[in-house]
Amino acid sequence: MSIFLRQVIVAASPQLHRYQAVSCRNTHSWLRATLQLLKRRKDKQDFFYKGPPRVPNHRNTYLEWNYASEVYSFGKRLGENLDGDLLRQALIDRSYILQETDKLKAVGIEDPKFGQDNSEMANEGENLMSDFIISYLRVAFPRLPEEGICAIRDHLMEEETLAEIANLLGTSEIIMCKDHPVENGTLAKTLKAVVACVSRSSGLSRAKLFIRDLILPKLAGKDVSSIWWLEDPLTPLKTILKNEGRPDPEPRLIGESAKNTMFANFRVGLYVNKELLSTGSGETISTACEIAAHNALRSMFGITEKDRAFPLYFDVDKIPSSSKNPSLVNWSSKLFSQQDTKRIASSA
Amino acid sequence: MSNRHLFQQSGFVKAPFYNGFNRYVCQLKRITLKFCKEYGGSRGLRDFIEQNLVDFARENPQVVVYVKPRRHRSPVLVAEYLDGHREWMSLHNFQRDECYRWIHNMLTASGDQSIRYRKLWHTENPSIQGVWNPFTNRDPALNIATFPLKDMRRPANMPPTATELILEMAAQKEKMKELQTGKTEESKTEDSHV
Repeated sequence: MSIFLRQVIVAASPQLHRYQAVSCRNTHSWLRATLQLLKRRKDKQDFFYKGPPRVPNHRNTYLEWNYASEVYSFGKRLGENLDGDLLRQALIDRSYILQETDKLKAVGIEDPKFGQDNSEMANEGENLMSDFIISYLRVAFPRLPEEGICAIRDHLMEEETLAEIANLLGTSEIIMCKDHPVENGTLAKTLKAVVACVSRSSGLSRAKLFIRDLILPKLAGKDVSSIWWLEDPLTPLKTILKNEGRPDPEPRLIGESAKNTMFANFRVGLYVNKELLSTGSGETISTACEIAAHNALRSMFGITEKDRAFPLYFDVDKIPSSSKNPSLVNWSSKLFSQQDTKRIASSA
Repeated sequence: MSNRHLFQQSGFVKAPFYNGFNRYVCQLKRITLKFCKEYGGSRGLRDFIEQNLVDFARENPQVVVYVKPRRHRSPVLVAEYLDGHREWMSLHNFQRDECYRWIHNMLTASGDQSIRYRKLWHTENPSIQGVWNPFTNRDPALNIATFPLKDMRRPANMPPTATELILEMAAQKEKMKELQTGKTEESKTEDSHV
């Protein structure tokens, strides 16, 4: 019976279209009935089940598992020549060492000796990542204020983002840690440690390339305003215009439709010295004003809808690490060269 | 779209986590080949293991290869991908080159492919000129107009009515008459001069 059931389950799994296209002409009439029965049984079991949430077995409990090969192929998958010992250390979490120590103590070994865990490497990797990402962003967004640069950096260094990347590189199965399934914090920490491992094995510029190739693509095709959004855009806009020696913007209604209906729609233009600075639409006049101020700031900072092609091709060794972008309070378009201003204006 | 694909999830072509933007990461992480050392059904897979497997493993160090002999069972290939997808495939009675091709197919695949493609292409920017809004391509003259406007009452492409046609014809006739009478008057004045 068990062989029969296994065949049923295998035949029913949705990934088998390719196999079926090769060797199976039709679906047997018993398939539907059997699947229905199996589902009914599973539902019944789930209904009465009150234990902890069921998780699938860890991959290392399978017969086909060789940790050394897995770690080796992980390094190769990243396209790096990594030092084996360093990589193994980068994959050991603190919780694993504590767990193993407890196990050995229970057996009677008082002072067991283990290698180092990845905490130190994770710290090193975190600093490296933070510094490199911020200097890369300053080159990629030369007109974006420092506040925005920091916001994007924080978004990239978030636990969830790093965990997602680490998961998609196949880290979750080879991390030595207590929690199963692996928690986001552990995954993010391991990825940072792997960056440090790359830096120690093949040098700093390889580590920077690693970050550019595997972490920064997260920004490709992304709108910066979805990461960094100013709550009150009119105040910084006024400050910037003041820095440039221009008067406050004057909002004017330049279009309205469907007034007093569900779909009311207003269009506001911001004028400075009778010149149109930007336009914005919204369901009330105040929102339209706000959006218009946002659009003005976005075209000033070079982060409009059309600037979504994030440059991923810069030479990592030529990126300066010192110069900061101007902050929001000191920002003025006079700080940038005329050519740069023209480029931004044509793209806006 | 066949009947089988009706209940399949639908979606668009996508690469797993921006793969290939800068660096290509092979999505196949593990492949397990199960075969029998005696039965004929495993013949092709056995040949593949003897002649091609070492080269395959050497060329693709990013894939862990497990080979599992099991007595009197049909040959099977299990491919595991980075996104957690696991693909099972029977290699029963396959020739060596068939095994080779399927294994390479698994190598170049990108994980879960059991979706029905809505389109064979995808773009993040479907419109170059931007999203339409009620003010797109609007005549600026309307900004200072006072409504209701007489010209805007009728449809843009409405043909003239029969009455309008007749009125127009009448107007033309009048014009012709005026012209003719004007001419005759002119000729009269010319005559008087002579």
